[in-house]
Amino acid sequence: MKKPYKILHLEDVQTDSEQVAFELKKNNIYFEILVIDSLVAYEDALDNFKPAIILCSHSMPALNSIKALEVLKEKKLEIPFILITSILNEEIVMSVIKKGADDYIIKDRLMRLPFALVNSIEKATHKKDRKKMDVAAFEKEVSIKKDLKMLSEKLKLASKIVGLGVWEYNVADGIFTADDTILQLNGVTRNAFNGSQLFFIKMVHPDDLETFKKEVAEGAAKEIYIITFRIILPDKSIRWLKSVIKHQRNKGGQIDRIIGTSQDVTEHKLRELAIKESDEKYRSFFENSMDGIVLTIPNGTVVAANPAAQVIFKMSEKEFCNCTRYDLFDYHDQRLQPFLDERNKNGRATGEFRLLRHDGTSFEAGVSSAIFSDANDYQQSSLIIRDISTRIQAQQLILQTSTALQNALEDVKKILSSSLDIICTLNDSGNFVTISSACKQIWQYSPLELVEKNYLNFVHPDDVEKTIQMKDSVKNGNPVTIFQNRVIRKDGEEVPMLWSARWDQSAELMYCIAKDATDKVRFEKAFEYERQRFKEMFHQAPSSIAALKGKDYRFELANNNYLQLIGKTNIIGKTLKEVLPEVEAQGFIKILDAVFETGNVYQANEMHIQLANGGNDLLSDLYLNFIFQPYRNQNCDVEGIFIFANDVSERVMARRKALTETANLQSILNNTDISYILLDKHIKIVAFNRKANENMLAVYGTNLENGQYYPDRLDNETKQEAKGSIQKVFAGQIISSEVYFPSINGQPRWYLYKMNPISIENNVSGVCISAEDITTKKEAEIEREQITSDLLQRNNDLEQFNYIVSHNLRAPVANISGAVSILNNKDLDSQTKELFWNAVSISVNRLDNVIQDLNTILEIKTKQHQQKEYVQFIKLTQNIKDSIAKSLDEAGFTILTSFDEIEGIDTVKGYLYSIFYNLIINSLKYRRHNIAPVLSITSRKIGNSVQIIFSDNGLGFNAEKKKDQVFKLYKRFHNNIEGKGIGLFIVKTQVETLGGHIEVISREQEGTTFTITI
Amino acid sequence: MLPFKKIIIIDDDKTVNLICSYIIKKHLPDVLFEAFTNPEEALKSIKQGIHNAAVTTVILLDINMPTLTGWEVLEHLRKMLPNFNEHFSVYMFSSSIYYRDREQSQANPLVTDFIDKPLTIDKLDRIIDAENSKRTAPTIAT
Repeated sequence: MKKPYKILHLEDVQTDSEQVAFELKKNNIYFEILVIDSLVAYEDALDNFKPAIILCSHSMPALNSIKALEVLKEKKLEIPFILITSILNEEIVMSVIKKGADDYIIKDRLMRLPFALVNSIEKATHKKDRKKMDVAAFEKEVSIKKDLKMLSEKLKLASKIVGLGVWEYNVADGIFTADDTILQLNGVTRNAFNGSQLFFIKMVHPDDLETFKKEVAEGAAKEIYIITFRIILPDKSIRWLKSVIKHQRNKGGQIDRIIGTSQDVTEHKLRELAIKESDEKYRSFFENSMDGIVLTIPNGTVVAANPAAQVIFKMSEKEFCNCTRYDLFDYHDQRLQPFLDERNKNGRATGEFRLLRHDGTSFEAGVSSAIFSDANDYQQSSLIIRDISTRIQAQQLILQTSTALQNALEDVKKILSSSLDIICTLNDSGNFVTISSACKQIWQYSPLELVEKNYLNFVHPDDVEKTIQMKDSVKNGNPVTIFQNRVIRKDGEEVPMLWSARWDQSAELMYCIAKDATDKVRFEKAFEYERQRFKEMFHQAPSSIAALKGKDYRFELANNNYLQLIGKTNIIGKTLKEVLPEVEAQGFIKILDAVFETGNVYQANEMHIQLANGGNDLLSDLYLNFIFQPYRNQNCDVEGIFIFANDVSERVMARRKALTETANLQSILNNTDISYILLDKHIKIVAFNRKANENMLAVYGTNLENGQYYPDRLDNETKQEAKGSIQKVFAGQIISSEVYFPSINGQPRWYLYKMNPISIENNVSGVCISAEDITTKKEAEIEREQITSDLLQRNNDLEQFNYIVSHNLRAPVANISGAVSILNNKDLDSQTKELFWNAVSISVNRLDNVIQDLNTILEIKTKQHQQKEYVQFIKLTQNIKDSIAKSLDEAGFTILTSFDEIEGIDTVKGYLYSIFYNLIINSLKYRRHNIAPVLSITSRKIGNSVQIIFSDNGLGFNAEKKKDQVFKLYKRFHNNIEGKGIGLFIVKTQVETLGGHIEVISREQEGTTFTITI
Repeated sequence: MLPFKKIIIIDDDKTVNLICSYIIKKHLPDVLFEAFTNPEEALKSIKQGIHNAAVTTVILLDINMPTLTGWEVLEHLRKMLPNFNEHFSVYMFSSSIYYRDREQSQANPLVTDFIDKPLTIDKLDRIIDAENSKRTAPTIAT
């Protein structure tokens, strides 16, 4: 086990010795301590306790540190000695150290003790060891010298290995010496070298020579410098050299010798150039790339964006630097997250998704991104961006076009098959290429029977000649619209045909349409078609249709919709009055009569009508769009009326309801005092109420408009804040804040702003911003705080007043009590008696004064509502000057007044008199005696208030320290000038009673200024 | 034997000093007595008298004085003499019956006690007792 340090502690104060022991224990020092404070004990302890170290307090009643050290010396003991002193007195410390102390510690710096203690003990141990070592030292020195020589050889070898050549130029004798490495570096043999420094300078590359000379010339002033330059070797190859050049100077400062080392740094230099070149390449790529390139650091801040990116995002480079990639990405885009995941996993990714421009618009982009480390090992990520909106649009266009094309083709097919005419194509030699199915009807041949057959085979023999002529004419580029010939049908009958034809040179096809000139088939088919169409239209029509015949309006036709509308069946043949008796009273018969008589169409939209269509007599409200269309017989007389009716009741009712609701809501919104603005997900304004626009006008002087980008409506500072807040709202937060506007229509206002997300199916699709004027509430709040703080202040004042009063009342009482108890002694001599009776009398007077002061103060405080009268400052000042003229004269005191700005006020005269009096007396009392005392009194008008300023050149006081104290009761700052410390307290109380306040500024030996504001 | 050899009183009220002077001289005739009405002068004198450090001194310190308060005097003493507690024992001495002054005295490690005016023989004995209990003998610790 380790032995404890034996510590002898010379100390007479127990707490100090305990603290030393505590400090050592605290630091885990294992020790045994003996505390003594006398010389005898000390000598005894040195012999018997055998301490390893002595700690000694500087002075004890029976022993001091100097003596302790002397004893140690007498006994020829080498024990480490640490002085522990309570004051840092350098003289004492130096003398004790001189006497042989190893260290000293200041008592309140005891934390250093453990270290100093261990250190001193170890040092003492070493000292003992060193003595033994002296003999060995000489042998060691010899061996070191040997090593040194070897080391110098090794150094030479090493410099040869790294190719470091050494040369030397002796300025005095002009001799230039160079070692083998230098010659090797310059590619010359020792024989070729002529011993002149010019030899090497000639080898410097012509392009570098000027710089080389300049640097050498500049280097002459320095102790050491480095130059890097190119040389041309005898074999014409070019190398880079780096030379370190050192000057040695004589006592006069002249250069004696120049010593230098040279090293081939070609490889290094070439690498450096390569890096520079690659950097330039990269730079040029970055600047000129057609794709946008954006570099970001891991927290998302954009560090660079190339010109192409600036064009794509419509942002300047500066705007880029203010944004992060979160401003660029559209986090609502589902494709974004997989892209980011992949990039984080593999370090790179490519993808297509939406990006956001600065103005809030978005675009489709192809993005490739990679994470890389730059030359300084900082992680960055690159985004290469290509705007692909145009490409996607084109793709969609192609898709649309091809669908349209498909549809067109199908239409053509339909036309071909449903056409009553034969549509066909013929090739150059006159064979059918395609033919529509109408040929079966007209010619009785199926298309298959005709394809690849020559058309002339089917033409009537008499018409072949003119048909060939016509075909040649068409082929020469003259399209034909009407050409008639005859075709022989399968059954041998001839059919007259009307042709139209055109030659397409690129397809080498003739397009032909052939009509059956007899027309019979055509009409038959057309009639059937029309009939079907009418029937379908009549029954399938979404409208209700009916036909009324004759003047008594009998139902001739009625479709299902009509029957449903009126809620009746079996109406054909009955009159309108029989079927719908309720409509006559509503004026419908009259309308029908008018149509019948004039033959004019009657049309009405959303007309209100009541029909008993529920199977009973109850009328229900309907809204119908009507057309009453007369129809005529062969003589052109009106024979009846078609009724076309559309039931639009639902639509009308829904619209009315919506209109009512909107109007209600609108009226709520426009009559509320809260302003509302709604934003869509692009932060554009979609709606706002009247109040919002009023506010905007008041704050920014502009009107709100739908479709505006909301942040653009604000000033720059608010803009950034609003953007940030809106971003948070899109993340689902609700934001609420109180904002202060220094001036809205000339008034300071407080607004409570709230931003709520507008959610549709859990997606935030917009933001609702509301602002409420809470000025009144806020002012009440501020007023309440003001009242609370006033109350606290008053309470404080009262407590202070209480304290002062109790002290100042108690002080003379204590004195009286003390003096009286002495006077109670029977054996006092008359002189002492007289002395203490006098003391009692002084104290009684003081007590009386305090009570009178209190009375004055309480009088002011209780008589708050005194009669006010107009008081002229100049008269008031003159009155006071007159009343104390003698004192002023004796002191040579000057009072300057300037009451031009405002000459007087309505006030309580007595108070104002007291205020002026006290402040003038104050200046007089605390004047400086080495200077002519001057007090200037000035009045000023500040808004609705009046300021009276008393400024003197007197003693002054340290306002920084005493400002709080100056107006307090019984506070005085000057010892040698009589004063009770009540004047300024009364001034303050009176100023405050008049509803004003007083402030003071002062500097010692310069003067004091009191400013009263009423 | 008395645990102190000197009493200094710092109070701007001459009457107080007169009463103290009489009581101390009468009851502790061996003790040196010095009274100051100006605290700055008191500080100056204490600073010069520091070489006489072996003597323990009791200071009676008034709280309410125009140029420096008792607390400010105490602060000056602490800065002027880092270990002044070794040689000085301070008693706040006031006519104040304000509770905070008493509380503040108890809380301040540089203050031994609070004595209210006027000084009497009983109060003087209390100071002697307090000073006696402060002195202790050295011990050996391991």
